[in-house]
Amino acid sequence: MKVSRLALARVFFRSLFLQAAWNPRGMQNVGFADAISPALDELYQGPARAAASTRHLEFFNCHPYFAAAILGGAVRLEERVATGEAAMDSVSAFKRALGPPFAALGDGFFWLALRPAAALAAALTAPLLGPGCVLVFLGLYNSVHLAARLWLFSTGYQRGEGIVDSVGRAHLASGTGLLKVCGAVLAGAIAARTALFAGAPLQMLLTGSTIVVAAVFLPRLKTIWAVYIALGLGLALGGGVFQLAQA
Amino acid sequence: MSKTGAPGLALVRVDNRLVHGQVLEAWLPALDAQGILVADDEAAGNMLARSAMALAIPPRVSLLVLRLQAAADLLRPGGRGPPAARTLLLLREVRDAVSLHAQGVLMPRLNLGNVHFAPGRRQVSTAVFLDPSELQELEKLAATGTTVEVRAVPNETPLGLDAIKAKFRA
Amino acid sequence: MLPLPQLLWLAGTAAIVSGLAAVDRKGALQLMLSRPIVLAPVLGALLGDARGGLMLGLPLELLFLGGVNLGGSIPDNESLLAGALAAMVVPAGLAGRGVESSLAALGLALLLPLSLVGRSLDRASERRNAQLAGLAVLRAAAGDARAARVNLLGLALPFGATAAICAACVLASPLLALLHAALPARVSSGLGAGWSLVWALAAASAIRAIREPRAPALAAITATAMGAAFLLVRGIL
Repeated sequence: MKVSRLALARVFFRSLFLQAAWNPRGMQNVGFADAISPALDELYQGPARAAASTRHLEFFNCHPYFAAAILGGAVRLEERVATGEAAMDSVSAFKRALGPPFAALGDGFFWLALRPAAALAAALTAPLLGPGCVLVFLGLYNSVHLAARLWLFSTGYQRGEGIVDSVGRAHLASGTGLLKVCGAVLAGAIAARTALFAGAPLQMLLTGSTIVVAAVFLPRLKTIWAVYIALGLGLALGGGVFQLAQA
Repeated sequence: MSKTGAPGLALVRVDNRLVHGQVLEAWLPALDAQGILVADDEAAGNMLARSAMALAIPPRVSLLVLRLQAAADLLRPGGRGPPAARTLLLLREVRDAVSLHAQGVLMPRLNLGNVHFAPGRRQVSTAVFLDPSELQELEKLAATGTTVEVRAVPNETPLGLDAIKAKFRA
Repeated sequence: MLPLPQLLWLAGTAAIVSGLAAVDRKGALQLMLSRPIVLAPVLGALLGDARGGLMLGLPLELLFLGGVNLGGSIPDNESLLAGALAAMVVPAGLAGRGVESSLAALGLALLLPLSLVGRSLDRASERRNAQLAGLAVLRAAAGDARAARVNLLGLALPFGATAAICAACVLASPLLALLHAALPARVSSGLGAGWSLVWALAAASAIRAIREPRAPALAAITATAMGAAFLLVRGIL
């Protein structure tokens, strides 16, 4: 038994709202159950349909983009459960097995590598492009994001449990590493530019040393206090010492 | 993190989700751990779970997934010890930690990261829900010298057992 | 001061845009429209000064670059802060000499606690969502196949609360303009210096945001190379 292409498209669309009702107890459970509903509608009738909803309201959490792969795979497994080829709890076991490790992959790649790298690249182009740098960020980030989400969903559906193998062959970890190196280099470039455009040599030196001191102490400070210290220091020093120069 | 547990154990953590972002992105670097030992019967018996975990682990970190009993044999005094010099031990349930401790595994500190809601469990932090018998077991562990804390990621302020009990009663 | 009808119009615009960004941040899509580098300039453009918005958004983006939502842990709410800051500072600038660094620093000093307020808001959303989830479980158990449709209701609170706060910031912008105009010159130039230091802090924070052991070294090498190249070129010229 196969679900229709329309139902698959609706499942994918609803997966974009996976975290709308994110909650501590079930985390993405409501979003997942809502997203898979169009497929369940075609596979089950009557009490079996409601029972399927209940099954999918169990705890689930993953990275919101990578969850698309698990959602696709879950639709494939539900097709087999509906015909009796697979046991009912195989879907739950699949979700439980892949949710956390895929969450880790997504956190590492999207949140901690691609997003900072894209934002830093855009920030570097700001003096040149002005507000146009927003498009640089959105373009860099979302071309990867949307392509990945679509690929993950369709591969998950086509390959079911084979998704692990497919993701493995995508060599995400090397992409994560490379993007982090890019991010570090870009951050260094931003730091250099901030210092070099601070004004006369005295201000350059002052800005440069502030960056170094801040980088050393930041891990021990909450961002909000660090900002208040910076503003307070500025007030204490006064504008005379510190030439203003902004991008 | 000065008190030493079973030689080579950097931290013992109860986390229903086992290997996920908080563990890999926050705890591994904070502990400077070189290995992860997952002691869980379900994960050990599930090929898919094991290969997905292996996919997520950074290249320089070793991963070992064992049944709980096999992990106990490895970690208790006289066993071969954990796979890496600084190993993070992940368990799915509080009762797994209790069982390891009962079998002689040294456990100066026990971190509770994620314990999901289940009927009978009450919320003590955003991600930790406990039932009365689990709380009792934790108190017994604490009485033998284990420091019990609730903490999702290292830069959070840990919640000690007294605070856990207060939240539980609230 | 801007005329009241215009202020009301701007407040409505800020409410809708910041509310949508709040929804994009966690609940829906996650196209990163909520990041300060996007929200502040877009909001700025709609309020009448895209460059002013960008000037506010860039350092905020770098300051909060490392904030990440891992599992259930909640980072500071950079989006509420960016939306509110643009909503208050850009209209205040329109009434005066544009977004000056002293005005930006004054606005930031006043609104910074919103990043923490935003965290409480996120926690409140989670509590509200827990009720929705409980409702869905009950309904499904009673045989309702549509039970999980309550999902989208979870978007209402982040949208509404963020929209209200940012609209209020637009309406309060004349007060910020008045306060800024009344500052003694020394304080005002000190705030300007503070803004430069916030930029320095933001650059440091960007380096720290890259979670990779070699990141500080890589950044230092790049910065040193750029500095050397800059001095060399200047020496030759």
